[in-house]
Amino acid sequence: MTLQAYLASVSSLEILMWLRGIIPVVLIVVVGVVIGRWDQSRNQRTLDKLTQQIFLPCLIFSSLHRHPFDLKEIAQIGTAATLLTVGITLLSFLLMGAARKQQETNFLPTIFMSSASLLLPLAFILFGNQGLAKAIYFYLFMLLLTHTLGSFLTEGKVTWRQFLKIPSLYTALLGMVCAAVTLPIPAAFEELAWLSEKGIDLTGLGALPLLIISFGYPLGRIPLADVLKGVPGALIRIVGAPVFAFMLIYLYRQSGWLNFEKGYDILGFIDQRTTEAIIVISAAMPSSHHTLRLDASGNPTVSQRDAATVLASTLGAMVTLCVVFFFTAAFIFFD
Amino acid sequence: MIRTGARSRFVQICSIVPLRILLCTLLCPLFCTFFDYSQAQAATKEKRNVAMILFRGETPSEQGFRETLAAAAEYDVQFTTFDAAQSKERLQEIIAGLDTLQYDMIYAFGTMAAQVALAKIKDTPIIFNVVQRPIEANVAATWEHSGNNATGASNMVSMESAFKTLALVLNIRKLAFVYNENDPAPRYQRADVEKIRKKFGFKVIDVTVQNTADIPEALKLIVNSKVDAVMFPSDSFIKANANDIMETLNKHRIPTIAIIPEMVRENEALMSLGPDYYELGQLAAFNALQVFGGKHPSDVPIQTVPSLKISINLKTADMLGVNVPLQLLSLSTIIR
Repeated sequence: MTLQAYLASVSSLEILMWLRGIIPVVLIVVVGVVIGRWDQSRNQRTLDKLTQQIFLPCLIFSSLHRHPFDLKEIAQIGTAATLLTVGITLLSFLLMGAARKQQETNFLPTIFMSSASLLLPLAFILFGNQGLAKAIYFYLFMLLLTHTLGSFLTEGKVTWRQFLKIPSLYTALLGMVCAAVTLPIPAAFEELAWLSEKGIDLTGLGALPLLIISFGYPLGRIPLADVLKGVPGALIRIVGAPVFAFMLIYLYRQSGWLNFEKGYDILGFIDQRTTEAIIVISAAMPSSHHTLRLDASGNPTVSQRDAATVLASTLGAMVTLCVVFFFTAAFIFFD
Repeated sequence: MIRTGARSRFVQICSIVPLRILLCTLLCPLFCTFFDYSQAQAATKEKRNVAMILFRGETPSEQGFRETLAAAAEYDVQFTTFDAAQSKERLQEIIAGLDTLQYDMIYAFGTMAAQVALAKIKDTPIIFNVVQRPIEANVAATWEHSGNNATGASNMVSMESAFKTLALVLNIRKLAFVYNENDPAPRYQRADVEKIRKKFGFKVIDVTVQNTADIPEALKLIVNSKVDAVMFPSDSFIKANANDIMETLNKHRIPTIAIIPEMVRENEALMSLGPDYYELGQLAAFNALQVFGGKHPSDVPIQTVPSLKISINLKTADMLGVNVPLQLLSLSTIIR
């Protein structure tokens, strides 16, 4: 099939569905920016704490315990996350090495994408629980990489203790165990178990808008005048990374690790296509604001250039994400 | 200008009388040969008469059946349609009054029509369609050999596939299963649901109806049970009353899953997970062609569709606040 035919295969319905997903997310980010600018008492720390310690762990458990446990899928996503991170780190050193020597940047906003705040809500809106579970796996691997490679780049050491303090890790493990092992629930407790599950689901759903608000919150405090300084890093983040991800998908298919044959099991086919889509869309996410820790931790160790990278990548991602989605729909979902 | 000039020269040349005669002499045999060939084709087509016994009017499966037979090069098939309009009595009257000598084949839609036809007609081949469980319904002895004068297509779907697909859209813990007790087909689907219930971790609430007067009470039970979704099996009675049922359930924001795809388009059910009825009609027609070709119906295996057809009503999804994942779009028929 030619490129023209591929692009023509994306119908107005897919574009409509994409817009239905992206527009609410952008609007909530704007709400976060407005709250961040107006909130003089700096409540972001409380917001982050609530999200990270209650809502996000509930979302992770709620999603993973319903998603079939598959080691191959976890390995595919984990390998992609690792290769993407290593690839972008090398690219950053190659293209912007001089800036690092001048201590203008530590590359973290270029290397690490917003794998929770923006990716998880978007994955859920666009791909339902199947997409959310895959995005959660990606997020968990990015957490590991942030506390190993990321910490090494900034502090010269690996922060295992901080990593092991993250509540989401344990709810993820619990969710995976529940999915892998069918726990026998006595009939008398079945109703109670389902009600508890509904409570967790509901709390988890609360994480989605909170994550997006917490993404928008620090953006309003980055001076717009600095945005140009962040353009090189942002370009690597939102253009280089998705291109790298598409190449990775191509390699996965060529090696047979991700099968592109439709076959009889159509559900298995769309499951693999969703894995591909999540890898590409994750790669296209703007910079992670957690790498800045502007307000929440009170430890503003990052440079203006890094802050500008976050802002530039967020603004640019509004365009690049649409392009990436278009190609994802054409190349991944339509053969 | 150049074109006009060239054309006028051509007209001038053609207006020369001897040339016209020459052209006619050359073209006439060509036309005659073609006409003779077409006539010969029609003449060589064997005529076949098929009586189509329907239970709830025309469905896409009849369209698939007719179009496939009409496209067959060897046969000129004439169809006579009888519709029982969902009345078992009318169905029996139709079959009792059928002059089987006039027909080369009987087409029967649905389990009930197939059962009644088989009980009365022994010497004319019967092609059944949309028969969920032909073995359990005593329509056939095995899937490979019916052991009688019938063969056809079954609308059996893998409930496991259906629930796997459903899990992409909804998280179900309490499911209402609505069916007509008088119809044998939904009972088999209910048994299939029971088999996979534990694996998918949900509870089934049986809601049975026998006539239209039972529907309001059934709906009240569904609403009061606070179910996560309602499933409608392949049931003609439910299909006939689907408008009223869906209106109430959509008003109460209860997602509905049907096996009959038309319920999504025509009655605003949220989604359907069943076979493509048009494809079923085509499969039944392939069996009919084998029988026309001289095979005994008992030697023609019963057909089933290889995969599910997913239909989603986006308007209903919006109304219910259900998020339809993008990956399903490439596989589904979307109704807006």
